[in-house]
Amino acid sequence: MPRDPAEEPPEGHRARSRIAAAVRAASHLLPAQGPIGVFIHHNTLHAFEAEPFESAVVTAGRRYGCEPFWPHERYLEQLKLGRIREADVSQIISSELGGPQGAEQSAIFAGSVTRGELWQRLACAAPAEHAGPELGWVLAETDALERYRAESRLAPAEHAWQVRELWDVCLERVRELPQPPPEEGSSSCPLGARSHLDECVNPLLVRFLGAYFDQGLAYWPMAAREAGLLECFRKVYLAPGLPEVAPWFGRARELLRESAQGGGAECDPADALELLQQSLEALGVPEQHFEEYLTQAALSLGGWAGLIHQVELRPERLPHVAVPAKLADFLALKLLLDRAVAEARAATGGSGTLERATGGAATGGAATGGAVNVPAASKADAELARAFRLFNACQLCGVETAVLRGLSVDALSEFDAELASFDDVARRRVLHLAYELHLRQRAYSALLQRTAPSPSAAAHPAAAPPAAAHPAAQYQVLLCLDEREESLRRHLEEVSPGVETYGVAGFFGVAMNFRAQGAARHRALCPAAIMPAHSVAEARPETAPGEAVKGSAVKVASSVRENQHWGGNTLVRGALVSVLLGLLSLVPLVLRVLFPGMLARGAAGRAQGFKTVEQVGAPELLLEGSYTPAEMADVVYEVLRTAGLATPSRTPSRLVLVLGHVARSVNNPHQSAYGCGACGGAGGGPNARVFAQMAQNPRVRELLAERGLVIPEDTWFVGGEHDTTRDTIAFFDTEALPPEAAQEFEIAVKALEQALMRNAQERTRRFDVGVLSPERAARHAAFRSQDLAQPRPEYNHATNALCVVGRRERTRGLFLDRRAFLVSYDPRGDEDASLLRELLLGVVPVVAGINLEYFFGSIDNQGYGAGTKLPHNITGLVGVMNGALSDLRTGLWAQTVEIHEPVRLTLVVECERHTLLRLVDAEPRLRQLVYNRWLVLAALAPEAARIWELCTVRASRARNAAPGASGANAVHWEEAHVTEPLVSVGPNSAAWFLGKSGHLAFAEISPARDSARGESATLRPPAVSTPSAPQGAERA
Amino acid sequence: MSRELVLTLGVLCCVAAPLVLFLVLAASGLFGRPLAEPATARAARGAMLVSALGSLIAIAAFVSLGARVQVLDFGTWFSSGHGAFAMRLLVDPLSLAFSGLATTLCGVVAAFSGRYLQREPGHLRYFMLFAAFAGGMQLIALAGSMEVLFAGWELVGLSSALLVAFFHTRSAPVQNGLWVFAVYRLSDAAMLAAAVAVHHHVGSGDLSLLFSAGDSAAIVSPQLATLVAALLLLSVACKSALLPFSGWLPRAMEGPTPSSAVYYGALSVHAGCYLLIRAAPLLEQAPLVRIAAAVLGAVTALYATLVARVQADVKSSLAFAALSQVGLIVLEIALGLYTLAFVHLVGHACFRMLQLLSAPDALRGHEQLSAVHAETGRQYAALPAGARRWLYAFALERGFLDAALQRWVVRPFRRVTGALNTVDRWLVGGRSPAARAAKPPEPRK
Repeated sequence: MPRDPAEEPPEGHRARSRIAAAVRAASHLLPAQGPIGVFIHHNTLHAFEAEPFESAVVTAGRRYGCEPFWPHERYLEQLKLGRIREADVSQIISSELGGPQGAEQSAIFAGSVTRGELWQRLACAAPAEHAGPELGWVLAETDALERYRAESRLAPAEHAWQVRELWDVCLERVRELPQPPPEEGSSSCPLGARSHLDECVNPLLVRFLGAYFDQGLAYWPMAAREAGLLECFRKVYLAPGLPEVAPWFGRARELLRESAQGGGAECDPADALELLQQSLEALGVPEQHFEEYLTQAALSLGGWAGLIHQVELRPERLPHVAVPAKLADFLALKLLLDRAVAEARAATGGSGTLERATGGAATGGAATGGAVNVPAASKADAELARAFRLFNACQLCGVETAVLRGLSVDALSEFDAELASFDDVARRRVLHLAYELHLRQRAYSALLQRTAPSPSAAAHPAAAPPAAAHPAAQYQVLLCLDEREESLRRHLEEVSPGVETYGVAGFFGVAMNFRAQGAARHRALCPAAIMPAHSVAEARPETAPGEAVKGSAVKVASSVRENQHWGGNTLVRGALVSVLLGLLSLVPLVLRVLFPGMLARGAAGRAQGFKTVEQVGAPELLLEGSYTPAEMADVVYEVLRTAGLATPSRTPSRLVLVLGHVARSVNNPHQSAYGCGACGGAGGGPNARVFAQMAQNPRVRELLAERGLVIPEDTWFVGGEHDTTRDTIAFFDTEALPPEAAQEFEIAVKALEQALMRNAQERTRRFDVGVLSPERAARHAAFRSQDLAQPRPEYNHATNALCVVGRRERTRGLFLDRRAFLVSYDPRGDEDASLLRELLLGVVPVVAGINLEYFFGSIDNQGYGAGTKLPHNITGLVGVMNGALSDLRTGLWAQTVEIHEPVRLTLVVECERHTLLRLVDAEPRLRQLVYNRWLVLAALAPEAARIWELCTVRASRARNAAPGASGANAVHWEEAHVTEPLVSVGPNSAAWFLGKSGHLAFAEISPARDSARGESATLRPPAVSTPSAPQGAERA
Repeated sequence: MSRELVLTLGVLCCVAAPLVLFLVLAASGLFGRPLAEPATARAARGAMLVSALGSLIAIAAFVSLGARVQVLDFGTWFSSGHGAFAMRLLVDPLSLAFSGLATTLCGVVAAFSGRYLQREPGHLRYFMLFAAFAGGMQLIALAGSMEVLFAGWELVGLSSALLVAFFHTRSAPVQNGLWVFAVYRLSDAAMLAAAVAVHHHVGSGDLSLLFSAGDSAAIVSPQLATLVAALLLLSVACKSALLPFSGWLPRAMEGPTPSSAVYYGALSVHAGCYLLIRAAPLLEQAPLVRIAAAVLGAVTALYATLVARVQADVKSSLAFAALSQVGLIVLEIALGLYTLAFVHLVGHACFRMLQLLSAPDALRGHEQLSAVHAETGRQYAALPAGARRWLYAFALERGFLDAALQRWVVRPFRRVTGALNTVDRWLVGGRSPAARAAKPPEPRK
C-alpha cells in the first residue's frame, strides 16, 4: 500500500489530504474532555473563540443543536426576582441601537411606538408566538380572543368583541401584506438525517469503545489493543464463526475482511484514510461535503470521538492502561459501518438506491434536514401566525384597533418586518445582556465604594507602617485564587483581623508530576496547558525488617479487596459470597445509607469531638533530586513577588501558611471536577507542601536574598490542604516547627477552625437544610461528603462571575458571595507589567475556562452539559454515559449548575488602563478572549477608586452582521459608576447570609459597624451617583 | 388482643403502608396539589418504616403462634358465577422472610432516594412509582390467591417500566422502558393464562392449596400441573430476565441509580425465583418443566457470567453478574435445593444492592485497585486463541440476543401488525378525508 505520499498518484494524494483536512476540521468541533479522572474546565465552545461571543453562541447552537441563551421564560423569572431590571433592559437596547437619540432607536412604528419601546415591550413580556396546530389550539381553547393579555397596554376591553375586532383587523391587514420570502433551509437539527444509520451502528461502537478504552473495569481485558483502534476492531469482530444475525453486521464483516486485505494487490491492511476514501465514495458523498459528512459522523458520537481525539493529543491522561487512539481510525470505522448498513439495506430492497438508504445524509444532511423536519406550513397557517404576532404586539405596545386600521401598507409592512427581525433569539439576547449588565454594575458599585484609594493598607487600621523585619501582619495565608476560597478568606479575616490572605494559582508555581505513597503512577499537578518537567514522589514506606510479613499482609489485604470487588461478579465466587456473606452486607448497607453521619463522625471526629483542622504526618517528600536550589528559588521568588509579598512595604511574616485545596466525596464519578483547576482536577495539597518546603530550604533563602528577597530566618512556611467539601484543613510537616513558631501556629489554627466552621455555615445556606450553627454546619458538610446518596456534596464553582486581580485591600471586607476569583497582585513594583503579563497568561485561560464551561452548562444543560447525574454510569473508568448505553456525557451535570447564573466573567485588573490594554493587545490569546467578549475586561485604577470597562464597538447590529464576519472589534474604555449604594452589615458575614438561600447582593462587612462609622465613611468615594443617573449617558 | 389479630394487623401494615403511600402521592399529584419534596420523602420514609415494623410484628406474632401456615382473608373483591376474586394472603415462614427482605431493602432505598432525588424534576412521580413497586412486592410475597399474585406482578411490572422511562425527556429511556414493558407484558400474559387455567379447572385461585405440598397433587392433574408450571416458568423467565429475554436487563439501567438497585439488583429480578420456590409443590408434579427450568437456569448462568466478564461499564457488568446468580438460583430450585436457593436469593439481593448503590464510586475504588487488576482474567488467558476471540466477541455483543429478537420476533411482529393496520384502514376509513389527513408518519424500518 502506498504509504509514502511521494509515490502516490497526484489524484489519490489530493483526495487523501482533503480527507485528512476534513478529519482535522471535524476534530476541532468535538468536546475537549479527556478521561474523567482528570477533569479540566474549558470553554465548551472553544472551537468558536475566533468569533465574537454573541454570534458564536448562535452559530454553535445551530451546529450542535443547542440553545444560544436561556429560554425566554427563565429570563422573565429573573426579571421578577430583580436579577434583571427593566432599566437594564432599556440600557442594553439603547446601547444596541446607538444611544438614546440615535436614529435607529427612535424609528417610529405603528404611528407612535419607537423601536426602543417596541423592543423593550416585546422582551419583557412572556413570549406569545405560536404556529400551526398550537396556534389553532390557543385560538380555540384559551381566552386569547376574549380578553387582552395581562401585559397589554390597551385600555382593558369591556367586551370580548373589542378583542375580537382587533384580531379580525390584524388578520385582515396581514392579508394585505406581501408574502415574506420563503425561509432558507436552516436546519435546527443537523444530525437528524443520519439517525437511522446511527441507531444501528452506535450501540456496537459504544460497547466496543468502552471495552477498548477500559482502564480496568472489565474482568477480561480486550486483546490486541496495542495494535490500534482499527486493527483491534478487526481482531474482535472478525472472530471466525460469529453469528451474523443482523444483515448489516454480515456486510460489515465482509467489508472489514476486504479492508484487512488492503485496497489493491498489496496485502497490507488498508489504513484509515484509505478506508475513509472508499467509504465516502461508496456512500456517494461528493467531495465538497466530505467535511460536513465527517463532522456529522463524529458528532453523532461526539463524546467518544472527543475522548479519542484527546487521548490522541495527550495519551498520558489515560490513568492505568495505555491504548493508542486516532480520530481518523474511529471515523474510518464509523463510516465503514455506516456503509455496511446502507448497503445491506439497499440489498434487501428496503429502499431502491444507496442514496435513499442513507436518507440523504450523503449529500449533506444540513441541506435536507430543514425540508424533512418542518412540514411545509400552508399559506393560511403562516398568515395566522403572522396575524397573531401582530395582534400580540399591538396589545403590548398599546396600538388601538383604529390606529392599526389606519396604517398605510408600507408602515404596516415595516412594523411587521420589525416584529419578524426582533425574533425569539434577539429578545433572549437582549435579556441576557441585561442580566449580565446588572450583575456587572453591582460588582463595579461594590468595588468602587469599598476600595481604598490610599496605598497604605487602610482596610485594617491596625496595620502599622512597614517595619524592617516583619510587617504588622500576625501571619499570612496563601490560598488558591479559587472563588470557593473567597468565603474562607473573608471569614478568616473576620475571625483574626491581623491576618493577611493572598490568592495565587493553586499549584503555587510548582508544576510537577507527583506520585503519592500508595499510588501506582505519577499524576500531573499543574494547569492543563503546562507539561511538567519535574517529578516528585513521596517516599515508599521502609520495608527492611519485616518485609516478607508485610508483603504478604498487603497481598492478603489486596486479595480480600479484589474479591470484594471482582468476586461478586463471577459465577462461583459470586455464589459463595452471596450465600455466605450476602446477608452481612446488610450491615454496611444500612449503616452507609441510613446513618452516614456515624461514618462521617468516625472518619472526621476524634475522641475529643469534631475537628476541622488536623495535623497529619505525611511520608517524606523526595524533593532534592528533582528540583535544584536555583529552580526552587525561581518558584518561590515568582510566586511571592507576583502576590505582592516581596515588595518593600510587605515581606513574609513570621508564619506563612500555604493552602492547596481538594474536594473529597463518595459515589461521585465527577469528583475530579471539584478539585483544584490549577492542579488538573487533583488536590493541591502536595503542591502547597512542596512550596512550603522550598521556601523553608536554607539554600533557597540564600539565593532569594541574593535577588533582594530577604526571608527572615525565623519565618516558617507550613503547607496544608483545604478540603472544600468537608471544610477541613490538614497541615503537613508541623512537627518540625520550633516552639515560638508553633505557638503562633496554634493561634492560627484556632482562627482557622473558627473560619472553617463559619465557612461551612455559609455554604450550607444553599443546601435546603435550614439554618445551622457553625459547628453543626461543619458536621453537616462532613456528613455530606460521606453520604452515598448525596448528588451535591458541594456546589463547586457554581455562581462564579467575577475575577479581581489586585491587592486584597481592594476587596477586603466585601461580601462577594463566593462569586469572585481573587488573584493577588500588587501593581506597585511592576511598572512594566511583566509580572502581570505572566500572571494573566497563566490565570485567565483557566478562570475563563471554568466560567465558560459553567456558562454553557447552565444555558443548555442537556446539550452542552451532561444532564442530570442520577442515571450516569461509569464506563471504562474514562467517562460516564446515561444508563447502559449512550454516548459519553461530557461537560457539567445538572446538579452542579442548578444554582449557577450564566454570566460571562468580569475580569477586573488593578492596573493603569493603558498599560493593561497594551498588554492585552500584545498577547493573541488574551486579545481574542477580550476583543471577542468571551469575558469582560475592566481596569481598576491603582491609586483611585475608579473603574473603566473595556467596551467593544459593534460595527453594525449583531443580528444583521454575518457570523464570523467581525474579528477586529474596535475598543474603548468607559468609566463605570456607582449605580447602587453598598449595604454595610456587621459584625460578620453571617449577619448578611444567615437564613437566606438565594443569590445575595454584594455587601460590606464592617466588624465595628457602629463605632467606626465615621472612619469607614472616609473610605467611600465622595460622590455616589444615584441609581437613577442617566445610564445611557454613561455609555455615550 | 389475640395473636391472630396481631398477625393480621402486622401483615396489613406491611402490605397497606406502601399502597396507601401510593394512593396519597398519586392523589396529591392528580388533584393539582403535589406534595412538597421534603414531605414526599418524609412520607415515603414513614410508610416504609410502618411497613418494616408491621413485618417485624407479623414475624413475632407468627413465631409465637407456632403455626405452619396462616391464611388471612380480607374478603372478596368481586365474584361472578363460580369465580371469585379473593383478597387472600398466605403467611408462612417463606412469605414472611421474603416480605421482610422486601421491606428492609425498600426502606433503605426510600431513605437513599430522599436525598438522591432532591430537587430532581419528577420527584413525586418517582416516589409514587416506588410506592407502587413496594406494595406490589408485598403482594407478591404474601399472595394467597392467583389474583393477588397477579395484581402484585402487574404493579411491579408497570412501575418498573415507568421508572426505566423516568427521564422521559430523552428518547433512549423511553425506548428502553417500552422494551421492558413489552417483555413484562409477555410475562403478565403467561401469568394471566396460568390463573385462568387454574380457575377453569380448579374453580379457585387459592394458592394455599395449589402451592402446598399435600394438597397440590390432590387438586390438579399432572397435565394441568405441567401446563400451569410451564406458564409460570415463562412468566418467571421474562420477569427474571432468563434466556432468551436477558437483553432487557441492561436496558433497564436507564432509571435513577436507586431504582436500578432495588429492581434489577435486589427485588424485581428475584421475584421470579421466589415465585418458583413458592410453586415448588406444583413444579414437583411437572418433571418436564423442572428439567426445562434447570436447563434455563444453567444456560442463563453460564451466558450471563460470560457476558458480565467483558462488560466495561459498571451497571451492565453488575446487571449480568446479578443475572448469573439468578440463573444459579433457578437451577438450585429446579434441583430441589429450596433452602439453599432462598438463602442464596436473600444474600445475593443484599449484596448486589450494596454494589449497585455504590456503583458511581467505581472510579475511587479503582484508584486503590489498579495494581491488582492485571491478575484478572486468568481462565480467559488459558483458552485457545480462536475460542478466546469468539467468546470475547460473543460476550461483548451479549450473545446477539437483542439482534435476534429484533430480527425474528420484533420485525415479523411489526410486519404482521403493519399489514393488519393497512387492511384495517382500507376496510374502515381508508377513503375518508379525515383518515387521510391523520395519516401517521411512516414507521421506521
